[in-house]
Amino acid sequence: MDRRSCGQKPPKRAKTSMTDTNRTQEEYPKDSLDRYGDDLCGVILSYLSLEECFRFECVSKQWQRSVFKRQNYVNVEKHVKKWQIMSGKTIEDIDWQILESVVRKCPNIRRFDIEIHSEVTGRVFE
Amino acid sequence: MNGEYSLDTTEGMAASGDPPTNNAVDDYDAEEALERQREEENKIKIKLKSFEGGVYECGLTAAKMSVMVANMLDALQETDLTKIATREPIPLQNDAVTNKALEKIVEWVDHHWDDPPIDPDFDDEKERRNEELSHWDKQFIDIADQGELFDIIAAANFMDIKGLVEVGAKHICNKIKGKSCTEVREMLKIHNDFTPEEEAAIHKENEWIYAKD
Repeated sequence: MDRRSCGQKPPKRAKTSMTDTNRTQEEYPKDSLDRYGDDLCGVILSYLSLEECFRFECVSKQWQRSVFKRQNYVNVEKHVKKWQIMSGKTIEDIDWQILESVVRKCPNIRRFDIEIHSEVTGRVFE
Repeated sequence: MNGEYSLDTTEGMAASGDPPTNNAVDDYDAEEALERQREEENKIKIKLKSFEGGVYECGLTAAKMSVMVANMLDALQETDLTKIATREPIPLQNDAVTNKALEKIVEWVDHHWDDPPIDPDFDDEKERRNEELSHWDKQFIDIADQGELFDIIAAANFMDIKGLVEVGAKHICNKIKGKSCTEVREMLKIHNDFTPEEEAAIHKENEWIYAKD
């Protein structure tokens, strides 16, 4: 893995991971979040809103791997509505690509909340 | 490793002690009794030993908020709980469990020991996740030294104290709310391992989330 430590300040910490079985652990500055394994990183990031998950996906590869893992409950309604208002679209203009991208990126969705009232979408759902 | 304590990973400690009840009155009585038992047990003090060797005292009920410590204690199969107090300190073998971190963790569990236990299968998990931190927790977790903060969260994760990990996680998420990716990297000292092209591609894909009027 291509990881460099940022800064050479002592004290270092071994990567925290309960799933890491190999003993060749890299060490990270103790004040760097990079020291956390994917599991703990995922737990931390699970408290972000869906919107922030998308915004922070490009922080690092670890974040990209972890950020959507624990998004179990997704209420896209708010986001889609906001997007509609911001881009001046009406309820009929749902961008299905957005919904597809949400579903693709969040592998563990258990619930997906969206409420749509319109003839067009009514037909789509039929 | 101290051979005295072994980590028994088999589940099943949570449900023990709850007798099956048939009606609301029994339920209430059982709850009362359990509460009293927890209170009594918390008067028993046990010792926890940090990775650096510092020993800290902690109420038994409070200490059991750590699933790891609870499992270790269960593995002892000690029926006389008062004997636990005279035992050797429980060693916590992880470099994140520094003296400072353990001191803070003991402070946290001592304050929270009588919280209602978290039921992970319960549906109000979503509500709890969205709940704001209490004033006490906010002050508790507002730690200037980021290395120390990360130690505490990592140590709480190692000891399996879900509530405290949650406090830490919410705190970090609150701190980065509304920040840009660059600011987040700077703040949490995260190394950006994307190429500029990769980053641009993600940006493009997620464009809709940045939509502004």
